[in-house]
Parts: sequence; C-alpha cells; structure tokens
Amino acid sequence: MKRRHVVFALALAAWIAGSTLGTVSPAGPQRASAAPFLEIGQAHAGYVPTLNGTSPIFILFIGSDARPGQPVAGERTDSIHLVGINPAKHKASILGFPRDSWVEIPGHGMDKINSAMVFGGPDLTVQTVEALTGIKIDYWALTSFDGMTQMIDAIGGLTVDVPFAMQDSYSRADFQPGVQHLDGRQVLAFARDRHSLPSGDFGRSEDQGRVFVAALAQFRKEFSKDPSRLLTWIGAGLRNVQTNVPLDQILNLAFTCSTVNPKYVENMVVPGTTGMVGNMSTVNLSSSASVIYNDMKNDGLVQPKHIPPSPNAALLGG
Amino acid sequence: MWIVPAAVVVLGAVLFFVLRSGGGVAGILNSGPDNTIPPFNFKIGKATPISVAKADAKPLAGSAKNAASQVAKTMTTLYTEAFLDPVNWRGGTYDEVWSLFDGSSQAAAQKEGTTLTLGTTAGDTFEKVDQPRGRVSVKVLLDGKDQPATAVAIVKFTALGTNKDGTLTLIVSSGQYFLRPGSDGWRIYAFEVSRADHEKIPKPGPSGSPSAVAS
Repeated sequence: MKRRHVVFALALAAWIAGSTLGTVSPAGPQRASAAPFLEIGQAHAGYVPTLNGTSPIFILFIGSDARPGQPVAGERTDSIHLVGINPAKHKASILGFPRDSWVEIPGHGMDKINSAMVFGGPDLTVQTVEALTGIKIDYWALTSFDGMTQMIDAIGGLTVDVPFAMQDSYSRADFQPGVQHLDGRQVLAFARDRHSLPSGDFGRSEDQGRVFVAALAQFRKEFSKDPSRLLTWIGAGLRNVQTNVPLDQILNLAFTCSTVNPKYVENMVVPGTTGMVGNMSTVNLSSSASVIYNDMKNDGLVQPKHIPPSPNAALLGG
Repeated sequence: MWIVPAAVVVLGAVLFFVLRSGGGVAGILNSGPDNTIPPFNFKIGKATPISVAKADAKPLAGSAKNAASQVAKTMTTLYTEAFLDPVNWRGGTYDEVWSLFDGSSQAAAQKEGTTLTLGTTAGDTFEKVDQPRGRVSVKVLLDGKDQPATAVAIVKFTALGTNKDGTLTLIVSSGQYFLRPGSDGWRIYAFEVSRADHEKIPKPGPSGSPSAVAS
C-alpha cells in the first residue's frame, strides 16, 4: 500500500510539473512588435518635506558694509531686506529698508537703522526691525561684499534681468538693459550702484531685491533639472553667510524656496523721504509704511493695493 | 510484481519533467512560488563632497566615500525590498520600504507606492523578477565639523520582470533621494523618482532561440 502511495504522489507531481511547465513556457519570441507597452507612467514623487504650513516665515537678510578683513558683524549694514515666505501659497514678498532710515533702535534711541549692527550685531538689527514693523522674525542671514561675490561665483554666476542702463564708477556697474549672466563681482556692482539711479538708495534697495528674485529663479531652474544642485547652493551659501539657522532647517527652507514661484514674489522698498538730522543724511519712513507692515504680518505677503510705487519708476518708464 | 516496472516508468517521466524544467526535486515537492531574492548590491559611482566650511572639499573625499558606502547600503535595502523580494511584491505590501523613509516623508512615499515599488498588484503581473542592476552616485554635504549632514543618492536601477504571459518587462527606476544619517542608518526624507518600464524584446540567441538577458 505504501508503494502505491509513493507512485501516486510521484505521478501527481509529474503531472503538476508538466502543467506548470506548460503555463510558464515563454511566449516572448512570438511577440514581433517592438512597440513599447508602458507599464507605469512617469510619476514624479515630489519633494518632502516642505514647510507647507499656513504660517508665514520671515527672514531678515543683512548685507554688511564690511570690507575684506573687517569683522562682518561689527560694521554698519549696507542693505536690509525682510523676506516673507508663504509656503502654502508658494508666494513671497521682499521688503527693503533704506539704510539711512531714521528709526528707534532698542536701548539706543533714535538712529540710522544701519547703526544697529554696530551697536549689537544681527540680534539688535532683528530687534530693531521687529520693533519697527511689529513682525516677528524667524531667522536672520548676514553676508558681506566679499561673501556675496564668492557665493555667486561658487554657484557659477547669476542670470539677472538688468532693467535699465547702469553706469557708475563707484560701484563699477556698467550694464546695458536686458537678461545677462553676471559673475560675483558684477552682481555686487549691480547691487551696490546708487549713483546712476535717480532715487539713490531707494532704487538700489529695489535692485538688491531683484538679485534675490534672480537667485530664486535660477535656483528653481537648476533644482528642477538636477535636485542635487541644492547641496551646491547650500554649501556656497553657508560658506559665505553667517546665520542662526541650523543646517537641517536650512535644508527645509531650501525645499520650501524651491516651491516659491519667482513670478509671485513682490519686491518693494519702504517708502520715505530724505532729510537731515544734524549733519547726517537720513530717511524718514512714510507713515503709510505701517499699512505694508500690517499686511505683510498676516501671511508674509503684501496685497497689490498696498505695494508702494517702484523707486525706479522713472527709469522703468512707469 | 507489475508495480515495479510501472514505478520505473513514472519515475522516468518525473525525471524527464524535472530535467526539462531545470528545477530540483524540492521544486516539485514544494509547488509554491519561488521566493528566493535575487542577489543585488548597488555599484557605487562618484562620491562628491560638498562642504559648508571649505571651498575646496577635495580633502574631504574620504568622508564622502564613507558616507556614500552607507547611503548605498540603504539604497540597496530599499530596492531589494521594493522590487526584488518576491514575498513583498507578490503580497503587495512593502512595510520594510516605508521604514527607510523618515518623518513626514513616509506618508508621501506610501502615496507614491506605484513609483517607488513594484506596486500592490505586481503579483498579478509578474511571475519572476531578477537580473537586477544598479548604480548610485552620491553627493555628500559636510557640516562645519566635516561630518556628513545630508546626502543625495542619484540612482539608476533596472531589473527584468517575467510576466505571467511569458513576455518580459524591463523595470527601470531612476531619480534622486535625499538622505540624512540617523541612529539606525541613513534615512530618506525627500525624493524625486520616476519609473519608465518597457517591454523587453529578447535578443535572438546564436541558434535563433530567444535569450532573456536584460540590456
């Protein structure tokens, strides 16, 4: 009886094996068509994480007046920009402050806004802007002329849409209008020129904002082609910027920036009028600026109706 | 006594089928699917250091290489679990894959399961997946203390899927993964990956018979 069972089992196994062979024998050679049959479409999985909350992020960008060899944090600021990012709407706004703005510096009374850096470094500059605007700033980033030049060179230059002709022997700006690829020294000249602008420092502050927008546009373009370029940008940035932001948060910020469309970035300068205090030339910020601050505070963005006219309107034909 | 020659005949038939199928006796006695995982390791290409402190990062090549080797391990585990382990793709579950993603990226990765894995219905499509090949280049961002802070793995992976109808599919996955080091190895926190599978037409062999080698 036992033998019978064995034989039956073997016969069954043979039958199963035969059946199986029958079903798996390749039918491939019969397929003559070379037309591809796509199994799964191109699906881009998208980046995570991005800071996609509804709360805006505010970053204060500070450009130091320090020349090579000078301490970056101990010199006056040459440029101050408050950037509000709305991650949920993928939009941002850039608000430039004229460096001679006559404001209250916490603990130091009224003075030019750019003196805050001399009195108390980036922290006091942040406090000064917070006191002026009522906006709580999340991060600050500080760079110098030298740092900016090196940063731009490290990413291979920056493509900037120069809005009007600029010739200035002080900054060495010498540009015809139009889209052009600039090296670090040229970008610095573009960002520093105020002598060829009728509105002086107001117009320059707006041009500095243009550099931010140009950088964002280029970053997005490179990032979409090769996401690993993000590391090159972060490396170049951090080698030339002092910041209080931890590296992992910088990565998050970079991912967030990759979602902001430069077309939806409003670049503006706080309006004001020039004046004198003693023998110092100053800027008295317009009382209408509070409307901009309050608007920006809500969601990081400024509604079109609150955006002040461009200080370079005369050159732009506006 | 008739039973002895009968058994010999049946045994002969079994041996014939065993030899024809290329399988072993175990394969016949165990009629379930073959769950053997094809051996696979990513080949490491370029390991590029990028420093937040030093413009010339060439002296940090050693650190980048070490990090790249760890990153490659994670990527090998990822692709093995996502495309090669028959238990996973036959069952349509990829828990080991999701555990390689950290934080909020886990949910995003699961949403993109059809791109990042062979998919939940792969068991209905494929009979077998083998001949894996993969290459990974790694860019490593080193912090102010020259420690790896994050890395980008740029991968290209292919494997050959044998469909149930006998046709062949070249499984192609390529893209970039952002990883950071953790206590239990490198984990993925961002990714941009695409799949471009296509039919694989077997090359005719020397005698005109088909050959199923992935190109």
